[in-house]
Amino acid sequence: MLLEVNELTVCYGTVQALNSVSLGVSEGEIVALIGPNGAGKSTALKAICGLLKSSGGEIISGDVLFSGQSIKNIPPHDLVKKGISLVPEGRRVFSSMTVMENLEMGGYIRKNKKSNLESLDRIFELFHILKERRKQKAGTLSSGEQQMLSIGRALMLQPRLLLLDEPSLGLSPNYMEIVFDKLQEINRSGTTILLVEQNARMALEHAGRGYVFKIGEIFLEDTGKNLLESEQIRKSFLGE
Amino acid sequence: MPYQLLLNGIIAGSIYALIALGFAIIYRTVKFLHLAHGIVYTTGAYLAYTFFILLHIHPIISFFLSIILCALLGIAIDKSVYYPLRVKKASNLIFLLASFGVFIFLQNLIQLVYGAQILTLRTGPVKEGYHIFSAVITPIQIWILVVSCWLLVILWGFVKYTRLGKAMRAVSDDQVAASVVGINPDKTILSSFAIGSALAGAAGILISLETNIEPTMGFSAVLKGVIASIIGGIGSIPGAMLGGFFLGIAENLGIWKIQAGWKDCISFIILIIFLLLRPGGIFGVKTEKEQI
Ligand SMILES: Nc1ncnc2c1ncn2[C@@H]1O[C@H](COP(=O)(O)OP(=O)(O)OP(=O)(O)O)[C@@H](O)[C@H]1O
Ligand SMILES: [Mg+2]
Repeated sequence: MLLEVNELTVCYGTVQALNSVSLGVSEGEIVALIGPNGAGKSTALKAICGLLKSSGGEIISGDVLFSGQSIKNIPPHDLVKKGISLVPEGRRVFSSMTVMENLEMGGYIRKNKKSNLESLDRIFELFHILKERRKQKAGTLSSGEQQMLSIGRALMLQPRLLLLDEPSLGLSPNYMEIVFDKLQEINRSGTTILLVEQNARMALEHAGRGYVFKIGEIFLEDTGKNLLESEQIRKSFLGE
Repeated sequence: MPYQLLLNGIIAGSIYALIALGFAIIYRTVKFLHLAHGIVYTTGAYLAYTFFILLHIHPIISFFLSIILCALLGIAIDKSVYYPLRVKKASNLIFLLASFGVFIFLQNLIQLVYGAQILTLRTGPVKEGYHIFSAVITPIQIWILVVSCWLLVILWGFVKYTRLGKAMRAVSDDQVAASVVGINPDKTILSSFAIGSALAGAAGILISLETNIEPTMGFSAVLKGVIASIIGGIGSIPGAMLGGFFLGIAENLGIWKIQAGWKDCISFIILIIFLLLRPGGIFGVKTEKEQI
């Protein structure tokens, strides 16, 4: 297992958000976390990438292992060095900086600038539009373009594990499709992906496996295909 | 055209621009009003006095020693006062009050050590000035102008092109995103305090070449810096510079038509006009969302 979450319990102050959640992601997979609002999907992702503390949460018990090593409570700026990159909810590009500068910041910690140029080539190949817009301020891009930029920025360090929180949020259906196709392409070239998604259908169609959250717990785990076909899921999440 | 007033305005403006730029660099990363910036300015003047007048150290060395110590003072204020508050997620009002507390504390400390009397960095008599158009500029004023413009250009290039400068811009845009790409926000905040405070110190020293040093000098200075920063667009680097020069020139040209006693009023009138008509300042775009 590349990533293992073992019996994780998380609280925000006195409010418990996760109750003994366990999940795993193997090298090369795309795994989706789905579930209704407030079920704890983002909390699980934040606990993995070290952002819990800054939003006032705390891991009460359990552990998070990345290739066998505990990464519990490692701050996000140290986690990137281990090969985990995050595409945060709401994209969060550096809006006053240009597209190029945003991508450069993605490779901030790297001393070897030559690898940055290689990453840049790969990202421009993946998202042509970013190359065209490289001198434009990121704040002036459309939401879809910003999402691509945010993904590109996270790919600069060629991470082993890519985490995404709600990549389809606020995108037009057309862009959603593009983003998810690109994620599959990124995955095929060797990056493991764990994503959280409101849009359960889109996520399950593109993911190998899925976990379904319900009020702080995981209540189903299966392949994307099986979950899509499951009666229970169709009723409660796909609106059929 | 009263060239002398215009020239005085440009010189005062260059000092305001330095204070405002330092203030803006800090504001961008922490997003609260660091009023204690004014006491760092005062400290710069007193340190230069100590090195140059009391210890007879070479003026250039005194200048650099003083601004380095001001940078360290900025770091110390952040580490000892603001950092603990940040950990506790204190509100901006608390930061403002704490900043004011630091200001008062250090101002009293300076008064305790140096006394309340007026001091000066000047040694000899004032040298004969040069004539340009109908105005006179003294060698000291030329120094003030050259050094402050040089600092403004260096800082602008630093923020735009260097790795640390870009990290500071990234933290200013989005702290979470910055930490996600591997920037340590606490380190970046410390750097901005060091650089901003060095600028405040430099401004304090430069102004003391022209006017007197006294423990209370920092208060109106930081107000001018904040006003310049707001009319330029709070947190904007070019805005702070432009705002500083604008304020200096407006104040000095103002006394052409109004009595000199009203000089300090002018900056507040300008502030109110800007807050009413263009609250985002000259360069401000996203100020509406940001709360002071
Ligand atoms: N910063 C916070 N402070 C306090 N409680 C929080 C915080 N963030 C989340 N919670 C609570 O934790 C629970 C899980 O929230 P979380 O954001 O993880 O859900 P989610 O599954 O991502 O929902 P959504 O689909 O709406 O994004 C919710 O009950 C929420 O109210
Ligand atoms: Mg969420």
